[in-house]
Amino acid sequence: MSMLISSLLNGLHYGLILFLLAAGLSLTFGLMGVINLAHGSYFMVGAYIGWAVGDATGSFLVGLAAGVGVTAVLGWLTERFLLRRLHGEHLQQVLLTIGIVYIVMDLIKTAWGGTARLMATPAILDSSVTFGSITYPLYRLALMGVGTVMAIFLWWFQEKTRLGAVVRAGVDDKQMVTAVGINIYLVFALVFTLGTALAGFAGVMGAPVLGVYLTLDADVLVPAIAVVIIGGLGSLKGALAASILVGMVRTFTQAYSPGFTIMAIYAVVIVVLLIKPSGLFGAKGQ
Amino acid sequence: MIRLLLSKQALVIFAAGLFIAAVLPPFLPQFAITLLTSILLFAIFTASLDLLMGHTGLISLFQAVFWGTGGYTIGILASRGIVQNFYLAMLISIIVVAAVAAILGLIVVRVTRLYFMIITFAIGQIFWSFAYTATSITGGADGLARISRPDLGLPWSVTGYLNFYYLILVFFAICFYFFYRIVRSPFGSVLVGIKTNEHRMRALGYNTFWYKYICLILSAVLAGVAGSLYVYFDNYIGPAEVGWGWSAEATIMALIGGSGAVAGPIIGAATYTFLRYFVSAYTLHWPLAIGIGFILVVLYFPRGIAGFITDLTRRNGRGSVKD
Amino acid sequence: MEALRIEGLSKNFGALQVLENVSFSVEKAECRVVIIGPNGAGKTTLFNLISGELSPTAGKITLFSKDVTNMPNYRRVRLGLGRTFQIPDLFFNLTLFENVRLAVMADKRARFALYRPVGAFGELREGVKRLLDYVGLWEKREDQVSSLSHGEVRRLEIILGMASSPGLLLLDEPTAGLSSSEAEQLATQLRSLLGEIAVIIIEHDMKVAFALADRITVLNQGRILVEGTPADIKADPRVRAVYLGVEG
Repeated sequence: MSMLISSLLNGLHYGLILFLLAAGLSLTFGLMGVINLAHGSYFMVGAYIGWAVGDATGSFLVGLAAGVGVTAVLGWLTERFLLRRLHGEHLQQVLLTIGIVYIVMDLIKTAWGGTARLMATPAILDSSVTFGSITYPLYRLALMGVGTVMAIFLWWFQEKTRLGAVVRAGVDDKQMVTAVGINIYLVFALVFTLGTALAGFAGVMGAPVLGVYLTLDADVLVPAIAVVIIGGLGSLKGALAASILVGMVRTFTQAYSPGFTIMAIYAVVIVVLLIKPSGLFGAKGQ
Repeated sequence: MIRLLLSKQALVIFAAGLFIAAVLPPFLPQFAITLLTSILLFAIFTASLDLLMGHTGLISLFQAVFWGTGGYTIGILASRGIVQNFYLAMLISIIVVAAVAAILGLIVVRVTRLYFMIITFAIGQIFWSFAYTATSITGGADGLARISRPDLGLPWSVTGYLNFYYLILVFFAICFYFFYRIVRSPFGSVLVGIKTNEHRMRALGYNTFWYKYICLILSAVLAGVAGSLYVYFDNYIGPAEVGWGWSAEATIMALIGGSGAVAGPIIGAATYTFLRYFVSAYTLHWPLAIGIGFILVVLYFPRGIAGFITDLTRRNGRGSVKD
Repeated sequence: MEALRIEGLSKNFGALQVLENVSFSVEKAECRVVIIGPNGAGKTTLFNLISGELSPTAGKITLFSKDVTNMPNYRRVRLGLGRTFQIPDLFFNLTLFENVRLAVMADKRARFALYRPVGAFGELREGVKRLLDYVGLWEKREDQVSSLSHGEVRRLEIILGMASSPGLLLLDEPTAGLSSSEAEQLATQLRSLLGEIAVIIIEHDMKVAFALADRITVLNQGRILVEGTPADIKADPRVRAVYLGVEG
């Protein structure tokens, strides 16, 4: 029983990390039509910067700030100077993001080499909590807390703020938004930057648990895309539900090989695509 | 439209190129011949993607699935000694790939362009993970190795790199000949119509589903042939050859070369392979180089090298159709 | 024989009712029915339902005695339906020749040919020449569509719709965007071009509408207001009321 609860908790915390990553991906995808294949790369950049700065300054929080800051700036630069030139050309934008993957991969390898790094859990959270028969690391619980808070924040942003309303409207109908006089490019820039900042945030927060290594980008991107498909384009609700689902699938198939995990996750994807192609919470007519 | 490279002039250039490709190699060092062999195979792979993407506008992220299916079929047949006959093995491989494409096509061709991209990525992941995990069938992460060169039943052995090169050159010529014929056929022009304006095609009376479906199968078979031959070339097949990184490389080659013309895939494959070979010889930063280079191509040369050449030779507003 | 019969056709998009209980028919040999009505009356939606781009919420559509209510658009073309679009929907990166060739090829077995070059099919070239000659565009056949004037684009749009030798042709605002003299020119051309085909035309320009029509149907707010000969319609006070304030 306690094994089961541990596993559920593992699935939940991984799912929430995944949610942070997938939320940005889903919004970008839904609003801009861009499949940002470099999204995992931003996650990885966040993880490495968070580790490097945290290690140098001895402070997890400073590392976190640096990781988020750097990825936000990178995201803004990417959108402003690269993606924007290809406005509307979806294939070209996807291809462009592939180029970014290669560049980031190379730069990180050059800066920090090929060995995996260990990100230290912040000292205050470096203990375990016992309830009932279960002992569970405090950091992971904190991670779940943070993830939940972020989910609520994103929900608040999307449902209760003007900007959020604009984004939602834009996901449904870009032309209307432009027709109403809103600068859609500014919205794109903000959403994309927010997405990459979230990815960086997730990268740093997840680093003590997932590790910091060179193929991290692919290892998180693949499940994140599954989440976006299952949950539906542009839907935060969908991203949350799908992330937890994928997190659970991963945890319960981890006993087998990593390849099997991906197969299981994508089997779910195919099933969802066959039954409801627009995703669990996606808008119809895709 | 890129017409210059489709016309009869192009056929002459192609024949000349083929002649040089046949006559020159005995004077080249071994590394050059093996490099050329891989270029020929990647050119077929790129052409297969071009048929789907460049001509029909279907953005596929799973081309490696067909390359890999062909490859693993040969790998399994050859490494276990199930089928020793080269011709039979290739035939089986083609049938398997066509069957896989026929099944996947039913799911995949129905959806909109954007979803086509996503769903091909998803299917690619499933195939990759299957190749990676089904160790008893596919050799798992290690793949299948020690696959020897085939016995053609002819007086010449292809164990040596030069003779094998000629075998591949023959297949290359055949594949590109078919590619050329398809692209110039009425069917090919229907595909272009679909890429340009699928809505109008349907309004004109075309059931566009079938054309896209058949195109997918043809594209898959080409990729599968290339993948099958590559196993004999490399004496190995592994899950990487089914993964999206491999598909991404085909996409890069297709874009560098340019879509819409027969020579595009050849130019793209050659450029990419040469660059990778020579850059990697001097520096470890090939990913950085290709990342930047690729972004530059996407931004400034979206129609690739072939497109660039055609633009240079085109006069205002007029094509130069040879009908 | 009737070319088209619509019975009780309705279409809503959620709460928005665009067409309500529209019924009419068009005889095969009948020349021209023109549909007029203010913006938002549902005219293009009606066309989209007849041609199969949209499915009706209720009602039945019969084309050349076959029930096509749920038939996809490409199959209706095979039965003898052709249509043009209000906003020209052409193959913009291709030449005129290639545009018309695609249209001509749509019902020919040649389109399945995988092996011979498309240039080898003489019947296609003849078909293209015939159509381009109708509208005097054969000389420009190698030009890209993007280099055409608006009037030429409209003419190309019309011959694309005619390429399959339809028994019933739907023309959606064929003179839109043309100056009034260009529109008159096109109207004259149309009269000779269309010959014996049954045609339904949506038209904004009243002069063209009255010049071309054998029968006029007035649509307003998704319903048929009145049908009749041009003379009847001109005299009908309801029509004038609907168009009050709109240039006629």
